[in-house]
Amino acid sequence: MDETELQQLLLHPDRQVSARSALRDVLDAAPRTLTYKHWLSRLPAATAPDEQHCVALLSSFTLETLEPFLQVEAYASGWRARTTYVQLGRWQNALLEWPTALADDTDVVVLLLHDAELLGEDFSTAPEDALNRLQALLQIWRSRSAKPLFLGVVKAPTSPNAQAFDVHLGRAARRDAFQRGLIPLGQQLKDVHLLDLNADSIGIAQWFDPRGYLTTRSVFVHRVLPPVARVLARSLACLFRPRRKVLVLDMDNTLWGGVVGEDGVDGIALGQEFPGSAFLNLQRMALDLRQTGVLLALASKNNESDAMAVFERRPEMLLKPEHFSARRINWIDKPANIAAIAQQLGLGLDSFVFADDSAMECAQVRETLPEVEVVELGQDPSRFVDLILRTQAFDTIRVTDEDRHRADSYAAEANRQELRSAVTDLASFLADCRLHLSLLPASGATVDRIHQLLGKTNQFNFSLLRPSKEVLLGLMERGGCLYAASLSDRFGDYGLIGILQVTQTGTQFEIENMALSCRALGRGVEDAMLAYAHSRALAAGCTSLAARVVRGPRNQQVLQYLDSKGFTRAAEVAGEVDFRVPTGSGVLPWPDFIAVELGEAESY
Amino acid sequence: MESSRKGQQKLISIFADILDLPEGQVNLGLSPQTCEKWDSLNHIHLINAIEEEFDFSMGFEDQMGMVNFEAALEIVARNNL
Repeated sequence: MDETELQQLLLHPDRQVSARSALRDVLDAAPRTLTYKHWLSRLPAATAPDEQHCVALLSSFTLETLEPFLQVEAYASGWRARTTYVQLGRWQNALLEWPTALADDTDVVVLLLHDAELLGEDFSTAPEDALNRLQALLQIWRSRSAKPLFLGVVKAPTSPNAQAFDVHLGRAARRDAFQRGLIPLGQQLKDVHLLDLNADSIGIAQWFDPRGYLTTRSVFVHRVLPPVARVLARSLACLFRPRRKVLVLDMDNTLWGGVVGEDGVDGIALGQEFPGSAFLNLQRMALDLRQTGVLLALASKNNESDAMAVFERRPEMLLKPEHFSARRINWIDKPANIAAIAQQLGLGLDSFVFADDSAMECAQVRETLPEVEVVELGQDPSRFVDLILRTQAFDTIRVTDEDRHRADSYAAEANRQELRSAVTDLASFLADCRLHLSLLPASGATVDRIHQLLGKTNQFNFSLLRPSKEVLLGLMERGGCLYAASLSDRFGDYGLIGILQVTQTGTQFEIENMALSCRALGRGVEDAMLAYAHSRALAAGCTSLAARVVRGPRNQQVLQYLDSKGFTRAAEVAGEVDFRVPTGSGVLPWPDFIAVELGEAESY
Repeated sequence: MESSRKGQQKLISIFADILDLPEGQVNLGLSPQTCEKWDSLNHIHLINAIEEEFDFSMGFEDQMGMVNFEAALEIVARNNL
């Protein structure tokens, strides 16, 4: 792609997925200061307010030189950065004096330290002491702030020629022990994530700039500023944009070498020898992704019986039919098949990554379904894994239990669908599911999941607010107002699928917010949640139950739902609808096919 | 002569990109005094970009002595052209 084409692509609001991918190619081809400065001035202006995120960078060395690199890499990772730098002697004060002027609109804190800052310039401090000091500082800060923090400690060589001295004088061992101690330290502190900025991940052994360190207190040679910025932008991007959820794979020349319809089941390349080994590598990566919550799907132009025979007759296949949540093996075009898979899984196309070796198929999907991230695998299977992972689409900083069980729960959903088509009326279907709902006061342990849920629920969502974890923790501490709904049935566990937030003012009881994952809609859960709010209102002697709904682009069903439940629209101001229903017996009854477990010694 | 003209053009485009100026505004007298965008941070970016694009390492004296575009031309000519 030439410069003018990329420039046009960057300014095209509907082609941002392709623009970011093309920009990454240009950056990787010439990862130099000039390339970054050049493209920095050509990035589109950040328009959506939720695209921009404020990052406070605290460091023990000069870091401002990173700025243009970080700006460009953040764009390539799908977010825009607003940065504030606190450095040299001031990082400790900034932590201890939190909340500072910075704190208000900071979304995330990045703390980058040179290990000499804690071990001493001669690296003589005992690593345990240095770790304890760092832990104490972070604990004090954590007691005042619930912002996520990314910690990176660089281990700069004293000099490339001083290695022998470092070993003899015990420095090397102390520095290694300090680095190892950071992992448990990161795990003990809530929402603290480690950045690996050392030579092994950056990939350049000679990254320390002794001249820069002694003259301007900068640590990195300029050649590594691009990879450092990429590690940072990629890691932080996990906070700011949703992870993609589905990997759709082609089969011929993607899952195995060759074309099964022509080469036959025994003629395709698969096994320990190259190129078969490369295809197994791709399969291994797909399984890893599945274990962290990514759904796998197949879209292949083939006779289904030919393609499925490979699973049966080639024991080398690591992927099995049951690993795929959906498959479309036919002669219909790929965009139509991907759209059908999206519909089957109930997920938006912006959750999809499609990987295929054929340039033609890729171009067609890119053109027809611009929200889909397309990976053109090309002809060299040894590059497949890297090409898929470098999209950053499946990056994540934490894997929740929900993620680990997602693929299995989609399999359970397929079984439910089967039962649903066997049983004709909905009530007996639901009764046969043996639903169990627990509606308990939300606790700190669920804050990650609730934050995730409110971040991505657009359809059944009353307030459309996306509160920070700090705000959520505050509500949990207040008690009696924020409830977490978890659902299971005889087919499996849905996990935490909804929240209910209530408040009482005088004789009025109000639903401030209610949100439910679309996976759990239409199973009576929403009725049970309303019934619970109503029972609380009655018990508190309130004469009416109110609910506020903010109109959004995709939550119209909430308005219709409340209308159908007997609420009346008392007022509407600036897109906010005020619903009311008088309390009383027979109003908002509990659905009789769900067993409900409540906290606070309540029962139903 | 040909290569020195090419080098000069390359240096002009480096200054234009780093300082976000039209190439026509890059002249011999361009300096931190005449150009607000030539601050200490962009001074470092200029040094880094010159080192990368002309493939040499600039000594500390030269880093401090690069007080205007003319000085940069002289440094590049001495080290590279």
